[in-house]
Amino acid sequence: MPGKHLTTGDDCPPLTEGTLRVYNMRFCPYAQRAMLALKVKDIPHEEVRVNTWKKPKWFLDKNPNGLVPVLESNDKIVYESAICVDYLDELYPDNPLMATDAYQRAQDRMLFNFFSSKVESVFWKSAIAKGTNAETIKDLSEKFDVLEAELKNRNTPFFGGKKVGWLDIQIWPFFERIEGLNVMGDGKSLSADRYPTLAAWIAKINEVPAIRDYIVPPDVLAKWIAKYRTEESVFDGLVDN
Amino acid sequence: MSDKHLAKGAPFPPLRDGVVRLYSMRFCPYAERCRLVLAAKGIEHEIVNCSLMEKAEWLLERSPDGNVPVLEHNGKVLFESLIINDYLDEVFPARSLNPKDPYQKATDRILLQGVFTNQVMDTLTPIRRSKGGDKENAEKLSDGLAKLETELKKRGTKFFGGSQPAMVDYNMWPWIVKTDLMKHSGLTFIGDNLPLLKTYIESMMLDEAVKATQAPRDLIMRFTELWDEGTAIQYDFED
Repeated sequence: MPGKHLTTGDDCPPLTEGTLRVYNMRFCPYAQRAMLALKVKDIPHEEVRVNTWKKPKWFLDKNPNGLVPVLESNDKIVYESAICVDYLDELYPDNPLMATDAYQRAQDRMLFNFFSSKVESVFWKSAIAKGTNAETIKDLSEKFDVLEAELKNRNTPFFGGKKVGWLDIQIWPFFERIEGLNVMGDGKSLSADRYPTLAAWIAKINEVPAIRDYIVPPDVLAKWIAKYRTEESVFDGLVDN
Repeated sequence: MSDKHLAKGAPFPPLRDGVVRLYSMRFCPYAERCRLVLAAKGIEHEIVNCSLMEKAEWLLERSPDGNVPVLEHNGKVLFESLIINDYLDEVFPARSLNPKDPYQKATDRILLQGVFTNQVMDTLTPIRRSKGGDKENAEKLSDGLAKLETELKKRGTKFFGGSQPAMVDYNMWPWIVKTDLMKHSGLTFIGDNLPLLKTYIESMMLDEAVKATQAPRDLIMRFTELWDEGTAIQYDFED
């Protein structure tokens, strides 16, 4: 069972040689990418949680940017969520997340590039406005149209094909948060009317135990985010795992 | 590679089967990354130079924002310089440029995405445009280059990638080579203060792939001046 989110004044737990450790924050979508890679690939690891509002000083020695996720093993440190996922996939080549075909990999990376550079900022803009900015929601909806069309074109249950793959893991954490952060403005997840393929994908994702078991219920996420970055911030005891 | 830059209205240069084609612009640093990798790996290819002011329809069909570089090969279309470079390295086996070791690969990517992008790549244009007035970015660049110097020292090799230039070197080069374009503003960033980087640049200038892709210095300066001013951008020059 992972411990509490370590904060200022807490010591860094000693790391045993040969152990792969991930520094995580339970509600962070970026850290979730690394967590899902570890869980879906069933990679043995140790989890250390970090309070990202009041960070312990030693955490900046791990990642000068002070962000999760961070992977640490025998003095080797890797950070940046997308780099962490690729690193894990290469280090543990069984059950590969990445496509086996080079062009397919490139297409996944291009779509991910679209997601990181064009979708994420709009997503956060809507979340910060708590779903009240109609123009932002329209923009986001059109970006989701692109992903709907792409998945429809692939004609497979997951972006990765018959099984969960690299792109599914990179983008799922955001789709998980649509309802809890009210980014569409209606307090719900994606509409099956406008996004039938994505809605079916969301349902399939919910059937993958490694992903499903890590999902934070929307109402819990809403409660957490309401207090995040305030003196009433709480990280522990909101979910069972 | 002194082919005219094709603009809107120009007929589409017919594709031949099996030919690797790069849509490029002679002075675009992103496209230069791919030209370096194509040269370094000895991949036979053709270049189609494109105007970025009046974009050809066939460029806009291939690239979402009409940006270069774009790679076209046997019906496959790829964009984003780093994605193209990784694809080329994965598909063409001669001279692997990405490290085989996952940790080395991750470390190189962190260097590229972090210090290099934030403190070198993103600072050059603002510094040049301010003609030395932008002290904040100048400091960021100095600090960034100092960090690269430290990293090169730590690695203890001639190039960041080892005894020969590797992917990380080629991905950084189009900007590293431009860090001296501010001399006329009285700003020198890499000199005897950063001895390893100074030698690194000299070594890179002798690299075959760099020599094959480098435009003449004076043309780079002329293009950059016009580009910084934002008007009357010229792509084709008498060589």
